[in-house]
Amino acid sequence: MTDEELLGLYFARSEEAIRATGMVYGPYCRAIALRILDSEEDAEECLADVWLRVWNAVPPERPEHFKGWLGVITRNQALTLLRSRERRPRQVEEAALELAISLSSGPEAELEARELGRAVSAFLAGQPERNRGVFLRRYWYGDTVEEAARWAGWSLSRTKSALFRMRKKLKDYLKKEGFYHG
Amino acid sequence: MDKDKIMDAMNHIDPALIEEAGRELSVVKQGRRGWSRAAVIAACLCAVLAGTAVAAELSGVRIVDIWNNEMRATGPDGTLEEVSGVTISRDIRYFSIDELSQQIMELDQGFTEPAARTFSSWEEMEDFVGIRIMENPVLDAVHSGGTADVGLPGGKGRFVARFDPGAGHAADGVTPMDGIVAISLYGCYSLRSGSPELQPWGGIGITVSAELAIDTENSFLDEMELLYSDDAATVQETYVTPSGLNVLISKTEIPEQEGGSVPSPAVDWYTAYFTLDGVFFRISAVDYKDFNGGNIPAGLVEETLKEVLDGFVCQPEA
Repeated sequence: MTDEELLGLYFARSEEAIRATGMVYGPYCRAIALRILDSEEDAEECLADVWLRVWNAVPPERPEHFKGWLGVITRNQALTLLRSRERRPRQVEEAALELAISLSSGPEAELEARELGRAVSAFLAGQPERNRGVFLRRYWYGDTVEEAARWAGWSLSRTKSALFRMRKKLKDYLKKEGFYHG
Repeated sequence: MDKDKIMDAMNHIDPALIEEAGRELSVVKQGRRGWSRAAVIAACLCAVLAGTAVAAELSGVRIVDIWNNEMRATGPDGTLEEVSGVTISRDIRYFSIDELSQQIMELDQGFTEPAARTFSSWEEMEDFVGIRIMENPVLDAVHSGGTADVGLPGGKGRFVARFDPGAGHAADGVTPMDGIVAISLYGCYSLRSGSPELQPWGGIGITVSAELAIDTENSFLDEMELLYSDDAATVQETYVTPSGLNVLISKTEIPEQEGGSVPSPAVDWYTAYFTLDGVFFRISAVDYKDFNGGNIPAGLVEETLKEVLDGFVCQPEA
């Protein structure tokens, strides 16, 4: 079933939409939720919330990139669920810390999360596809460096080099775009 | 910036990019390109392969192909020439840039042109790079001597580091080269410098070169071709040091070249190739024949080279 057909079901307010979305994108969303929640039970609960949020959002929304959009909702929902239980996403946090350290040396950045996310998107859009893929595997999907390397078909050292260089470039980009003071 | 803000910011990444990174990728097998040819030029030894140890299996360095009198493009313009030579495979370790020093990481940013830098000692050079590359008490005990010239501004001295970017694009033809792909360290030493039998040379010069490969999408340094032309003879020998280091030694006999403003004397040119902890080494020594009124005692250059090789501290392979 294509994204267009899935969205068509939502717009027709057919309850088949949720079942079909689960069939097509359930494994993808479950993997994202599991990475953050580290619990099958919590992942199931998270996905139930995700399907409800999608049902409520479409229509009026008609996401252009449905799979990526579902991923964003799932990740957001999983983090919300985890925080409500006062737990921390160990692996995702570890990756975020790695990125935060790279960005924080030097002048302090004063950015809202949304603004920063958009800036990171704009930066990534200008990078080679596989490089930005590795970056997102590591810092968005929360892959270990080894997993990101496998995803790209790269060696571990090459992946580490690429990530290191992209973190540096991102910081330069944010500076150039005026996101840093001083 | 704290990690919570980063995690939240990541929720605002463009879903198109998330979707793209959510695809399962197949492993791309990359071919060799570019660098081998550069290595060929650097390693050209002017001789005919009379190779004996042709199927030598060496740890770290291995002959994978031999070619005799084949037509090959040898010049930058692609001119075909009949040449002979060998292809060696090197068990190179690809270093991640963040394993190296802060200075190298800074140099790596926006690095597009070759650069060189001189140092006062091998240790200083290693400090600059950020890793220990060799331990060799024999070399530690001798004076530095001679000069290496890597053909770049600031690239002439007893201890020189050369930094090279990749050229052009990655195997996909689109991805631009990014940062440093190779660091070559050169050290010049003079052994037996007080020996009266080595007058007027003053000693036996040994040049150590160590090449580090930095891992990027363009680091195709795993194989290297050694070309030989047809006016001399080359023989090869495998040599195992007492500590278990396997070395390929190439000896090229270059005859006296007459004519020109300065005639070139006949020389035997020795080069030892090996890989140690993933770093590719090339150690060379020249034996001058009947030059400046004397001869270096027979076999002394080769003996000295092997003394240096024996000095390398390494863990033999299991």
